[in-house]
Amino acid sequence: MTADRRQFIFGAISLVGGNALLASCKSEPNIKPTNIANSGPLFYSAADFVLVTRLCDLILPRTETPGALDAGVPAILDSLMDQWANSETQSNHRRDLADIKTGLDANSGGNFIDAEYSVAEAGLNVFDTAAFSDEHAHFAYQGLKQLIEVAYAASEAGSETYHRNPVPGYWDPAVPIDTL
Amino acid sequence: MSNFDAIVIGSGMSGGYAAKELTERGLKVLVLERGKNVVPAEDYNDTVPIWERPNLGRIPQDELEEHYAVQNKAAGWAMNWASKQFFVKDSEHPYEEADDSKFQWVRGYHSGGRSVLWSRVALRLGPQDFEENKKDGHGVDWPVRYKDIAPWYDKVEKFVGIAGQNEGLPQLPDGVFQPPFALTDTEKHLRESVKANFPGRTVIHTRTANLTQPTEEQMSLGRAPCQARNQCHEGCSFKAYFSSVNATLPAAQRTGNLTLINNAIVHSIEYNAAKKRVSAVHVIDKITKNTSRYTAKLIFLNASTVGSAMILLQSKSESFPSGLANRSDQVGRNLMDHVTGAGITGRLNKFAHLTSYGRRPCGIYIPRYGNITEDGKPYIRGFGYQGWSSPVNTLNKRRPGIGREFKESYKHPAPWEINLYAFGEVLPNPDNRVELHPTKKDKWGLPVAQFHTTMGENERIIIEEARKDAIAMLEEAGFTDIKAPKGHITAMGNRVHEMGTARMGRDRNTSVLNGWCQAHDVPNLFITDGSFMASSACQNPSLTYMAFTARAANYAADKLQAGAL
Repeated sequence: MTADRRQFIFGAISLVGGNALLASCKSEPNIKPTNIANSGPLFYSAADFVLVTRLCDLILPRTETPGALDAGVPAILDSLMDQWANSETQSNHRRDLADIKTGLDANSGGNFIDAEYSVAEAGLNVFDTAAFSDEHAHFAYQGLKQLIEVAYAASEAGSETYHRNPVPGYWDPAVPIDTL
Repeated sequence: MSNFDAIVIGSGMSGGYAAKELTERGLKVLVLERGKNVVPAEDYNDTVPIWERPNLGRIPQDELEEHYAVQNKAAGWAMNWASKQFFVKDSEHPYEEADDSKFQWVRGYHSGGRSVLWSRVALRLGPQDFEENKKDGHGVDWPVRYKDIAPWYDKVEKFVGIAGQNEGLPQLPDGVFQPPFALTDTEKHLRESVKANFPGRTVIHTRTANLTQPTEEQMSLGRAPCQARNQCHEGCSFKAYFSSVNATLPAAQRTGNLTLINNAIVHSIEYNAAKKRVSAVHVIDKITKNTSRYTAKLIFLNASTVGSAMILLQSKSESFPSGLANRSDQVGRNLMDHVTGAGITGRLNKFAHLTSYGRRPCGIYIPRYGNITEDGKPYIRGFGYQGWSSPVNTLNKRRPGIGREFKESYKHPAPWEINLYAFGEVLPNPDNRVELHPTKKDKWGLPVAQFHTTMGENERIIIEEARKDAIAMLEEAGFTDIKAPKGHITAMGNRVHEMGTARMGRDRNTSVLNGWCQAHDVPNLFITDGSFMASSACQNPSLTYMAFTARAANYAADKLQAGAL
């Protein structure tokens, strides 16, 4: 990867609020995601990586707990697509991203990536609602969103957010949710 | 090589138990295991957190397709980076399905065999299960009744460690239990509703081989209570679930009487016609392909239902031209499994304010009621259900929403979803069989298995009726959004409960073994894996394999020590 391309990606990530991701890439992550800082994405094009990054940021933002970018989810997805997925899955994933982007652009004033955060958020909200409706169910988007959440929940940061203790120690079948 | 009192072929669920019982009786025992050894401290990967696992623990899709096509199809839900070492590579262990047969052969070749992989449901057969062959004429009469095996269930349950609750159900007898994993409120609700509206049906805790209150004996083997991780298929560094590796093999090892040889693929068992006894086992080294011969006074064949039948069929001699102990022509026949279909799900809002903590390694069970407490069914025998419940906003379930609200939705009130899967009895059918393929060989020069298996009409009716009954129970209990796909029925092998290929019976002309799992025609040959089963019942069978193994091993030790073998 050329320095220019890497700089472009870093710039694009910053554009969509990915500073936390960049910060996480400077340390040695355990989950073995793509090391964006060294190589750039292994699977995604620069544009796709920016799209995935924006989706991660909007779907699982940083709140009082780390967000998907803090957890390095875009790099994890890149690694999964590069090392886990077969060629059919890879091809479908690229096609789905293009399809999703088309829909999101239409909902976000023409450009989901360049849109203001609030505009992109509103556009994604509309898209998401439709994607889970019976009439306009968008299974590819549902799958991508599930993958983002799976990757987040599997990260060390996500595990802590969701109180997913690797060794719970005991089983409690009835925990009031207002105690979480 | 000689000087062994007994050879046990296979180190899985029943082979491990045979080794334990025989060594504890003072016999010098050789266990031949066709796969690699498994040392928990070195080989288990269960303590590696998911964020440190390559690809989040997922096996690359190309690798799955190339090497684990069958394993993944039948047991993909249990396969990941940490557990794949316990599944065979289909690419290295081919088999054939004859004509329109379907058979999914899920295997693990290593110390402990499939006991490392099992789903730990540990249920007794009931009195009816030993009597129905005789009553309805399917299969041969079991030469054993429940009262004969009940004390051995007690003994095995005490050693294994079963979490469960006594319920007083005649068809699913109580046992020696450690405290159960508590039901969720949704499951308690279903239990109460079923009790009120379907007399004769009962929702109970799954009886599971996970320790909740280990005994001194269990702790002395290094076993600790279950930590509620639900990663049992990866092995368990706490040794909280039962497997040969976690329990019986260490118990046998500490007697000083066990010799375990790995990578030992059994070619055949040698028969001494003059003495009318089996005398030796011929082995091919998995790595070097060198051959060896081991002798002993007594042989326990525990290579798994299909594996044991294959060894018998390979062991031809002038005395047994169609395979060892096969004068009845029943070796390889009557191959059974359990049958299931698509799961039935429903949702309940009543407990939306609750979630759970920890990951329980089990769920609920609804014991068989068809043709026991309820008559007039359009099928013979019956089925039970396994199930579990969880909130629908559980992480990783597809659901709408973005941003903070989505991220924190696990804190929001949400319905619970319950899942039910029927496990139906498969009738013994001599045409469902495994045989040696006439021409195809594996890489060690042994014939590959060829299956002739189909599910029958009774099995199809069972699954359809189970679907209807589940819907009725969920509707009566107020569940909504009930989903119950029609028309799906599993292939033979899918439940990984193969049994019946060397059935026991009262008549040596129609069965292979007597009531002690002893070959009718070969007094010092015992077969105590699932091969001996004369019917499948509908309960998960591993506990029964172990109980019959313990009984047979002590019988054999008595006879050997009395000079009667």
